[in-house]
Amino acid sequence: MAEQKGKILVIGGGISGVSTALEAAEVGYDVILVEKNPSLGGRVSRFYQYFPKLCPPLCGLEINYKRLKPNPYIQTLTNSEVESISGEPGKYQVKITTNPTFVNEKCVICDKCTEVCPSERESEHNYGLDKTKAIFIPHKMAYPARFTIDRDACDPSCSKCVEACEYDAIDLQMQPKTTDIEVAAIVYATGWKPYDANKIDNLGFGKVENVINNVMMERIAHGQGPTQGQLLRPSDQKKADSIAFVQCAGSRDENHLPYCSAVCCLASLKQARYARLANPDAKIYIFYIDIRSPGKYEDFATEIQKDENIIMVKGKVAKVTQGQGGNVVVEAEDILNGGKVSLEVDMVVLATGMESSMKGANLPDVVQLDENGFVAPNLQNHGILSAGVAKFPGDVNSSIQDSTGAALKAIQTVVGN
Amino acid sequence: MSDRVLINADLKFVEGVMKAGGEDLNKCYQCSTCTVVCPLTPEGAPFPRKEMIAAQWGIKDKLIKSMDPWLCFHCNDCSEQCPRGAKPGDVMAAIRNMIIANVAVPSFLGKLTQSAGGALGLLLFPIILIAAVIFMVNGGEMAFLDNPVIDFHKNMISQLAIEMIYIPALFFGIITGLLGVKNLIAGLSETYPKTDKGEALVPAIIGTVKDILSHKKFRECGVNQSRNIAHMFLFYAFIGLAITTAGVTGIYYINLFAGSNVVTPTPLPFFHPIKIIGNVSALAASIGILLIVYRRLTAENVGNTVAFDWIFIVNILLIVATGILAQTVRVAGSQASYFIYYCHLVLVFYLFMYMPHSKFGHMFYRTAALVYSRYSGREKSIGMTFLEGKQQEQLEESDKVA
Repeated sequence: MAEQKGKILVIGGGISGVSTALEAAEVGYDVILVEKNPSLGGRVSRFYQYFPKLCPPLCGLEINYKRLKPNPYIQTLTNSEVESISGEPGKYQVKITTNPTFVNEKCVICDKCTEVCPSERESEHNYGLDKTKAIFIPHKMAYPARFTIDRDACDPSCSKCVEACEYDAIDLQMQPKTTDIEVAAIVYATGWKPYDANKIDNLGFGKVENVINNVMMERIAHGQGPTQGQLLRPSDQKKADSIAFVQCAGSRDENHLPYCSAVCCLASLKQARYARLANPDAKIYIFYIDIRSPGKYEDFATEIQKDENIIMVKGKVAKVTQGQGGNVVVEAEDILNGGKVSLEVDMVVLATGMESSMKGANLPDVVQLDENGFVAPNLQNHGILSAGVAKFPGDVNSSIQDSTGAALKAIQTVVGN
Repeated sequence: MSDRVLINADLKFVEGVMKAGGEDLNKCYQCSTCTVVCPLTPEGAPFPRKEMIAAQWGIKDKLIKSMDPWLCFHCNDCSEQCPRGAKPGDVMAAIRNMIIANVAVPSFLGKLTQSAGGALGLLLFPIILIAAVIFMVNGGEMAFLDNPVIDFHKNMISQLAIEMIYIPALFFGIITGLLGVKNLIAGLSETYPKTDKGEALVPAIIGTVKDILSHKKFRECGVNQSRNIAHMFLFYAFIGLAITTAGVTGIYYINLFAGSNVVTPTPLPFFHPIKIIGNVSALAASIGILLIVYRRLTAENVGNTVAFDWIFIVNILLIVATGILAQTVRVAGSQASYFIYYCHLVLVFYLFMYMPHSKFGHMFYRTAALVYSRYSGREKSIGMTFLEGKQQEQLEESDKVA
């Protein structure tokens, strides 16, 4: 192995960041993996199934954690954020802040603390569809497997969890910690957030009951989600017998996200399958402009559409209103049949696209974004790299491939300097 | 519908639509947001999504025989919500301009009126004609300029001379307009044969006139709804001015044939009902046209204004301005009022003569299309798609040849 000249910093502990870190560390390079949230896994850890194989993402994540945990070259900092970056390729000074989780590594996730905790907070893991206690574990497969306290949701005078904990794992006095490091290369694997559907005026999200977005649908389908995998709509927990999927909700739209996120068509087809399996009586309507299922995904799209209860309607939904008893009315033109349609369904899923997590973020000068907020190549500062959706919207498969490439580029920077 | 259709793409037509105001046509990717948000489209075979693709593909034959551009009132709800900035509202307006250019009789007039250069060329005709008539009736002398008493009709050009010019111009406008309407309806009836959902002709006409008088469709618009106010001012002003003109002419001839002033002669006193109608109409026209100009220049959602629109707007604006100015300057005692009145005459002549070829033609064509829409049953969602019919036969023929 070449002489070790510097470390690689990977920002973001989702599937891309973990993949980049592993690829570099498994050939012997030092990696620091920084994740903002208390657990690794990112968006992927909230998915129910991957397309096209319809297998659970937690399975692949678990394999990655298993590789990551014993690897001596990776230092993982969760609940941590990069404050500043300066320097040049081969020599970047980075300041990292680790926020307190108020729970230390002695935690054995015995759940005694949640039994006594009196406060609740919205679960961001479930996109606000349900609540957790103020002391919580992000999900059952969290890595590190440890509780976290949301102090904003706590009563400051309460210390019931501390008293309940038999392992001395809770320290309410824990303080933020700053670490200064020097690295040779930096990989942004900061991923994405679902586009804020509240901004799409005509599609009713946040105003019309039972209009959800596609990431919420993943949680509803998930066995560990707010409905334990039952196909229940949020307003009244009624079984959803009819669901309309609204494709390109805020995507390919100059008023919202001008680009195609490349995954929403396949995600909706996949979710249509979830719904059909969870409720064999369900009728699914997918309103689309065109179905984008490139390459081998064409087979997947064709297969899903064989189900006669998955009805494809060419024409974008442009109006969503409240119907009777919590139902939702969608309006579109059925282009292939040449007429306007107005359809009342139990629930509507908006196939919102991916917005770069970096959009609107306060970034160090060395990082350049393109016009859509994705990390752009920086020729002056070639030690700043990106991987996965931080670079461009795509599926998990292409993100992992991209991450391998990013690891190699990072190694080149380390060795080349 | 058959599986295979042969498209006769007319690329010149596509270019024409883009030049006539639909410049962003090619941005459309057929999501049909426009059709869903359109407050005016029938439910069956709705617009404007299908017009967008037909215009992109250059299916001229179908588009100029389509009713739907006339059912569109350029509300711009579609353009506002279009995710691509393709501005379907402007494209529909451009298609209307193209239809006028295609059905107008004689057809060269329909094309010349589309551009500022063409319009100026056409303006030369009344500029020369009216100047020539003034010269002739004054025996080639401009002696009236030295007369301290300013009277347009007694000194510069007689009422009779005006009528000799304007009645033919008006007839030309009306007759070519009706011939244009005949062309339009011929196309529409090919696309929309009368169905039993349609109304009889007389109720269709009455219904349409009622809708026009109340500006019903205009008021169903979403974002650009307030333009109906400007249009209404101008619309009723035109009716008022038509009544005034007919009244004044009527008085002149009654007195002429009676040999004496059996009714109050012109110029009418200020409180004469016809005079009041005339002045109120002039005021309404001023308000209407100024509102239109103001909104076209400042409001965001009025859409694209092309030469074809501006020529008509400026024509009316100048007619109103010169009309008011001529009277004011005359009362002030300046000889300049003759020139202003001359300009006024030229502009009015343009409006009359090229009525069906300019944007004013919408008076003929939209009215006719709306009547036919009720008559054929289009309003009740009887529609058409663009790819049916003739092309199939042509495809079969081309197969035979192959």
